Order: sequence, then C-alpha cells, then structure tokens
Amino acid sequence: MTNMPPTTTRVPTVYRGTASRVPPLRPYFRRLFGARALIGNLARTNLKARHYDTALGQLWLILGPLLLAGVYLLLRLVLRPAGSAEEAKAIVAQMVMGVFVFQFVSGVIVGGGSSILNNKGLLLNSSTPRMVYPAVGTAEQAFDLGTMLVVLFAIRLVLQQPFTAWLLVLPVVLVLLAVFSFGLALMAATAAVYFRDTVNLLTYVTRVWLFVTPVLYTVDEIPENMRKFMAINPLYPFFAVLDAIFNGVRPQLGYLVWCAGWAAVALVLGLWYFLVKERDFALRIY
Amino acid sequence: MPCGSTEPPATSEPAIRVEDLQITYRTTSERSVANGHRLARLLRSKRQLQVVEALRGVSFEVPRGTVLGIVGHNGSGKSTLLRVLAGVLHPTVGSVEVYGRVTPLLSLGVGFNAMLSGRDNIILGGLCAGMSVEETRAKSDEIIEFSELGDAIDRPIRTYSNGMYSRLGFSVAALLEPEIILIDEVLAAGDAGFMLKCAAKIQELAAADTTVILVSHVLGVLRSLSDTVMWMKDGKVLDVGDPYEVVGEFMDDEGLDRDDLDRLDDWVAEWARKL
Ligand SMILES: Nc1ncnc2c1ncn2[C@@H]1O[C@H](COP(=O)(O)OP(=O)(O)O)[C@@H](O)[C@H]1O
Ligand SMILES: [Mg+2]
Repeated sequence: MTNMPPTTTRVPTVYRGTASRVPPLRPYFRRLFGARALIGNLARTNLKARHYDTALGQLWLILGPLLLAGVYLLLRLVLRPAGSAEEAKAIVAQMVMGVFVFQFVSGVIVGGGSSILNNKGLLLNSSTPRMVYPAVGTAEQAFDLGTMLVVLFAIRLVLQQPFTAWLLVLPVVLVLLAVFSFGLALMAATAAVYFRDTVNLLTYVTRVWLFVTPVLYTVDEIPENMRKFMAINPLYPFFAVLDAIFNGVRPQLGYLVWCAGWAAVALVLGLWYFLVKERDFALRIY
Repeated sequence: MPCGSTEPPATSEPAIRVEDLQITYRTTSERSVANGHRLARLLRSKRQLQVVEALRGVSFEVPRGTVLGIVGHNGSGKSTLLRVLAGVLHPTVGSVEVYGRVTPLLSLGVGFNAMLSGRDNIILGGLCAGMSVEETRAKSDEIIEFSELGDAIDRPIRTYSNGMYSRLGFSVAALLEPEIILIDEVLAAGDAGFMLKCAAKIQELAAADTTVILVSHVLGVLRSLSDTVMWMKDGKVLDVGDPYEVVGEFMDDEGLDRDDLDRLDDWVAEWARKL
C-alpha cells in the first residue's frame, strides 16, 4: 500500500482506500527501518529537553527512580522490619532492582499511550510510519534503564551482593521484557487515539500492577496458595527470573519460556492492532 | 467544462493522479470542562462522535512540472487534499498515485515540534522527508538563509509569529529538493517582500520540473503563478482550468468583483503584514 517515496519518478506511491487491513509488512518495516535516524534524533532531543528547566537537570534521571525506590523501601522496612543487617541489604538490593525495572515497563507503556497524541505536529505533517513514535518512547526508556542499571550495579557492589554468571541471562530477560512492553505500548498508543482517557487510566493500572507483581516483595514471600493466582500476571515470570539471577540462583527454564511466550503474544497483538488502525490516526486527531 | 478532471496533454507524464477521493474525519469531541467521573467521561466520549465528510469524490491529474493552484472557501477541503497528497491521510475511499518525493507539510498552525527551535525543526523536516542527518545539515544553512529568520532560528517555534512560521515552512518545503512541493497558505502570512521571494522560487522550481501544488488566498499571485487552477467547494472540485477563468468563477461565486482583485490583494497583503 504505502511504499517508500521512490526516488525514480516511474513507480508511484499509491494510496488506496482499504479499510482495516494490515498493510504489507515487508515494505512497512523497510520504511520503519529507514526512519531510524529520525527515531534516534527524536529520542535524543526528547532526552535533552527533559528536566531542561529544573535546577538539578539531568540528575533527575537518576534521582527520580532512586527516590521512588527509597520511598517503597522505607514503607517495606517499616511494615516488615528485616531480621538482620544481611537480610536488610538483600532486601534493598532486590527492591531497587525491581523498582528500576518496573519503572522501565510502566514508562514504556504509559509513554506509548501518549506517544501518538504528543506527536500530533509530526504526525499531521509527514507520512513517516506511525510506529516511529512509540518506538522513540521505548528507546528513551531503554536509555534510562541502561543508566539505572549502572547505578544498580554500583549499589550492589556497595552492599556486597553476589555477582554470578547467571547475570549473563540478564540481557535476554531485559530484551524479552522490552519486547513485551513495546507490544503493550503499541496497544496503548492505538487505544489512546480512540479513548483519550486511556493515558489517565494507564497510570493507575500500572500502579496496581506494581502491587500485584513481586517487586516490593520477593517471590518467596508470596503465600503458597496465592502463587498460582500470581502466575497469571504476565510480569510474574519476568520478575521471578530477575529475582533468581540477581540472587545467583539458576532461573527456572519454565519461567523463561513463559517470558518469551508473553513477549510474543504482546508483540503480535500490539503490531496487529496498531497496523490495522494506524492509517486512521490522522483522521482522528486534531 | 467537465467537473473535476483535467485532460493533460497525452505526452506529459503525470505527477499526481487522484481518483474519486473521499475523506471522512471522525472526531470525538470532548467537553472543555472536565466534569464527571473518569469512567463516565470515558463512556461519554465514545458517544460524541462527529463525522465530517471533508472530501466527497475528488478526481484530477497533475502533469509533471506544472503549478496547480487551488482556490476555495475556508473549509472546502484544500488542506485535507494536501494532507492526502503528502501521505498523511489515507483515502477513506478512492485512490491516489504520487510520482516522486513529496515534501512534508508545514502548514500554518502545526509545526513539527513546537518546543524545538527552528533549526531542530528543519532537521526533523529533512529526516521526515527521508534524508539523512548529514544531507539535512548540509541543506539547513541554505534553508536558514532563505528564511531570513536570523537569530530567531534558535528559538523554540512556539514563540514564532505566523509570518515567521510561514517563512520557515516555505523555506523547508522549497529547499529540500522535492519532486512535488505542497504549499498550504503559507504565502499570505509572510510580508510582501517574502511573498515575492517565494513567488520567484516557485517559478524557479517549476522551471526545474518540480510539480507545485499551491493553496493561497492571495488570488492575484496564485493566478499569475499557476498553470492551472482548481476550484473546490464543499469537498468537491467545481472546476479546473485556465487560471484567470477559474479564479474569476470562484470570485463570482464568493460575491466578489473580479475587478476588485488587485485591491483585494493589497488588502490581504496589508492584513498579512499586521499578523
Ligand atoms: N482534523 C480534523 N478533524 C475533523 N474535521 C476536520 C479536521 N480537519 C479539517 N476538518 C474539517 O474538514 C473540512 C475541510 O477542512 P480543510 O481541509 O481544512 O479546509 P480548507 O483548508 O479548505 O479550509 C472542514 O469542514 C473542517 O472543519
Ligand atoms: Mg486550509
């Protein structure tokens, strides 16, 4: 349907009224790949613009998640004091990791929700594949997560937490998690065009999601009879694996398979919903 | 005269071919006052769907290297048509064939990113047009010089006046070396000097085989720049043909005196200067 605007004048770009169908995938993704410079440029300018006018500036990038982790930590240690100093250190390390990673997930999803509406100017003036905008948000969040991981490893070093070879699985889990989140971001982006309240709702949905995910508590702390209910939460296997590899324990292969499964399901559904509706976006926003 | 179709000379290559194009906007209007519970608003927003048939069966062809002027009352669908040609809007019904690279639009009112500087918006424009960062950088000095925006180029474009905005919009569109250039009303907002500069640039582009689609309310300039003029009304093409004839018909329909055109142009230019 929509091909890359050709440089030769022989082959036209053709736009045809075809309702609600997925466009040919190969040309679409070729165009999306062709827009990588645009994605990089947008992500960079957004990162630069963030916190531009605050006194602490870019420091908020690190300070924000750290303070958030601090608040949850305080809450947790007040509600359920640690038995020993060793246990307290482990709890701190585990929760900081969980909060940072969860922040990435919720950031990608909520950012995806507002990505189309926030880029109205670009969207109404160019024919760039619309997937550029949720992709930019995801790239920004990935950059943030990378920064936070450095902070996390520094904290773990200070707290003398284990560093084992299982950490080599970390990139795999994080990539699967990014794919999963991006799939949800695509759904959120599309839904927000039709229901403007989506973004508002998402901030609450992700907050509830945080509480039912083993972030502020460990998998072991979940009562045995509750665990099978927890397991229907797509984020449960991700955090179970993360928990294991950071504690130097072999992650269960079954959980990793679940991670891959959820990532695939979210990506396929997200792509499908987004691609079917994408050509309708510009008719709906103003 | 047949409605909505030109007969280009059989030898000329088409740049644009539009057939039975229909565009229907669907917007959900939301109350400006946020009243009621979130959930209630969610349910209500679905109910207030507004359907606007902006284009209702438009067909025409533009041969390569020609200037097509479009005239029409506000809301007749001119901007909508340009958005379709730019690949922003997809036809609800019908088909559009575009032969060659089209500039991204920079119509009045919507920039690429209002928070960014004019310079950053030029880069964005180039990237959106499929150019590389280096290519765009290389072009940007030329664009900035043409726009005559001076120091303002490094200010966020939300601080721009309409005139400054149109300077940027036209300069980006004209200098990114498109094969098809779409100009939506940016002429009227600039001052008289810039308008003349733009007019000269448009003639230069058309001479170099660029196809120009020009929407303008400055009828005198439009009339003299265009090879063909298309008159749109209520989402339909009423006539296509000789610039003087079609602009005249449009003016008759608007209740304007054809002889007033020169005076009208003066008035528009005066009005534009005040913006
Ligand atoms: N984004 C939009 N959503 C809904 N209606 C729109 C939108 N843009 C334009 N319209 C409507 O479509 C019609 C044509 O508008 P437009 O193409 O902007 O006309 P023109 O450029 O000739 O003034 C108008 O009735 C206008 O209100
Ligand atoms: Mg208009």
